[in-house]
Amino acid sequence: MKTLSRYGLMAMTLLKINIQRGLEYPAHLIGWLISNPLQFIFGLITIKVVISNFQALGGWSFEQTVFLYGLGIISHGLSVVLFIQTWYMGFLITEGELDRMLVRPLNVFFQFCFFDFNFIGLTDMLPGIIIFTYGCMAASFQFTLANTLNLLLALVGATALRGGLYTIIGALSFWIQRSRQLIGVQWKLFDYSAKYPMNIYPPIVQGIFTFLLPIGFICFYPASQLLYANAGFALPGNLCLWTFAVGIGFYMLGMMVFKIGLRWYESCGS
Amino acid sequence: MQSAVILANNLSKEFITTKKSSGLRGAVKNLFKPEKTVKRAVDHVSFEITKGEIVGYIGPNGAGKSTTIKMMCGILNPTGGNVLINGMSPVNQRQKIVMDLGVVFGQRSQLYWDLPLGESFELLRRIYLVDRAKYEANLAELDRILNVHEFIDTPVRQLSLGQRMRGDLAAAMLHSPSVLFLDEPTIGLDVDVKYAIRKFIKEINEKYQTTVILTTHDLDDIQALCKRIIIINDGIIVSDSPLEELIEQELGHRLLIVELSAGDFHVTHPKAEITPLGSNRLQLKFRKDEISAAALISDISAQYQIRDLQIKEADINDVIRQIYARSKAACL
Ligand SMILES: Nc1ncnc2c1ncn2[C@@H]1O[C@H](COP(=O)(O)OP(=O)(O)OP(=O)(O)O)[C@@H](O)[C@H]1O
Ligand SMILES: [Mg+2]
Repeated sequence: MKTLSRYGLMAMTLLKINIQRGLEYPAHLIGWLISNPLQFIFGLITIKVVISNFQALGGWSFEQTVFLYGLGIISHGLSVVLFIQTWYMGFLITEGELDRMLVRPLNVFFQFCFFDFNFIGLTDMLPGIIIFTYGCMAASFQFTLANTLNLLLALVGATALRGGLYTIIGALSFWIQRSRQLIGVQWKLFDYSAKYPMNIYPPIVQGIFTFLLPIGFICFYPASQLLYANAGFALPGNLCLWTFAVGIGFYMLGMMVFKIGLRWYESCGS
Repeated sequence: MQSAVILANNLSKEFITTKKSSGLRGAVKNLFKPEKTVKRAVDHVSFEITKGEIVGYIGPNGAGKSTTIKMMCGILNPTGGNVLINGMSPVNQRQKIVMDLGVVFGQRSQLYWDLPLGESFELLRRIYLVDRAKYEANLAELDRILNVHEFIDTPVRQLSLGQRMRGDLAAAMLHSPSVLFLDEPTIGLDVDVKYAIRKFIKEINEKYQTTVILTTHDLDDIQALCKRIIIINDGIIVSDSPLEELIEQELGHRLLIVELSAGDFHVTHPKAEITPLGSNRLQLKFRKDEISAAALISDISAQYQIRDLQIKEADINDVIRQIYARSKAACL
């Protein structure tokens, strides 16, 4: 209990410091505010072009795909805020940057997550929220109590799932010196998985993205349930609840892999 | 029984590196059959350090000093042996140990790059759970020697090397740790800052009985601070003894240099080895347990008139160079 409140206080302090630090570079903030939405609007245009040329994707209408895409961007935005450090974990590990965390009396993973909290990632959320709101209206999504709860579960789960997967991929650097290339692969993977309904892929790919590397849960499965759209595999139970469970599970797995990897940490010569 | 603050027992660290062959053929070979080499950076190192000691941990470049320190403060896990700090192992009680540890790496700041120094301090205060009154008192005390208030509002990345090092030292002592690891704290610093840092180490050691482990290539630091030195070379401890004893052992002799007025002379002495240096100067090498400098001088002045003289004490640089050379020869 005491440790919990200690970490809570610490997290608040770090949050404050990080926001303060972010505001010291207003130009940076404005740059992001402009470039990020552009990127997502281009994404949306791509979908529109693809759909108008090839009919609906896997039985999903344009409106439903917009909903899916918006959902993906929101959890992407949340994960950018919370987990951006994992993207350069490889760099931190090979350059010996974890030294300074290891000499402090705090959990290393906690320091890793909170010392570089990136609130500018909130700018990623803005286009996500706009696109998602449009998607909700266009696909006539009903904000009933059950739907809202499911949506929240799915968002928390998807964010945690992204965090967990990023952490696992980043932590590979503890064993493989040059796993930085993997980050590029990770990007493509998450990009494609979020943009299109997953049931357009062959069953084997769907299988992999469901049971092995469950990125289908990031937005495809929860969206399919929320919109009663084609989910490919008929998975039993509440898919939003599944997303939540898979997300928390993978996040914990990520923490564990990080913890084990830390034993292999070799710092660097000095 | 006075238990050791630090107890290293056959502490070892091996690094496995893959050797990179060049060229296309090399790249293919790297992929399928990487050539692994094992580097024993620290090899069965044992020592015991008691409360209040200042120990100089020295050795040539790449000897394994930083690696040893990193194992002691929980950054690296040993591949063999163990080390106990205040009776606890950094491998499974890292957080508890570092609570009572101060660490400074001269090569790499432990401060937060983007934050003004003062905010780094404030953050550390919260991390180490130091209450405000104690913190204010500590900071005032540290500021007295290190003068950190001059740049306390400057972001760390804008500090000069000397300022940053003073900041790092202050940061390491804010929570009044009982053990302080200093890995090259005086690297690249001017005379004044070096002096301030030495003074700082001396004062906290006297005042709080802080145990200090210091690595440095500046042997003046050692001479000014350490009573005991441990010498490591190629991962192996080659000497662990009080500084005076080491000098005594290695260089029992001293040098007397005299300048005589007479142009032609022929000096001999049964207890000194004499080398002419030119322009009426002579070097006499003698052992201080065989003859005192005063006796030697009076013997010579009985024969010739001495115009000027100079006694050279043993130089620690010579001692260390000699030991490095010997341990290197032993390795071959
Ligand atoms: N992370 C690492 N990976 C591989 N080898 C390493 C690593 N860190 C250190 N070494 C090797 O271990 C040996 C000891 O390094 P260490 O940094 O402990 O030396 P040192 O005594 O601190 O030297 P210096 O005086 O130059 O700082 C060196 O040969 C070095 O190349
Ligand atoms: Mg070193």
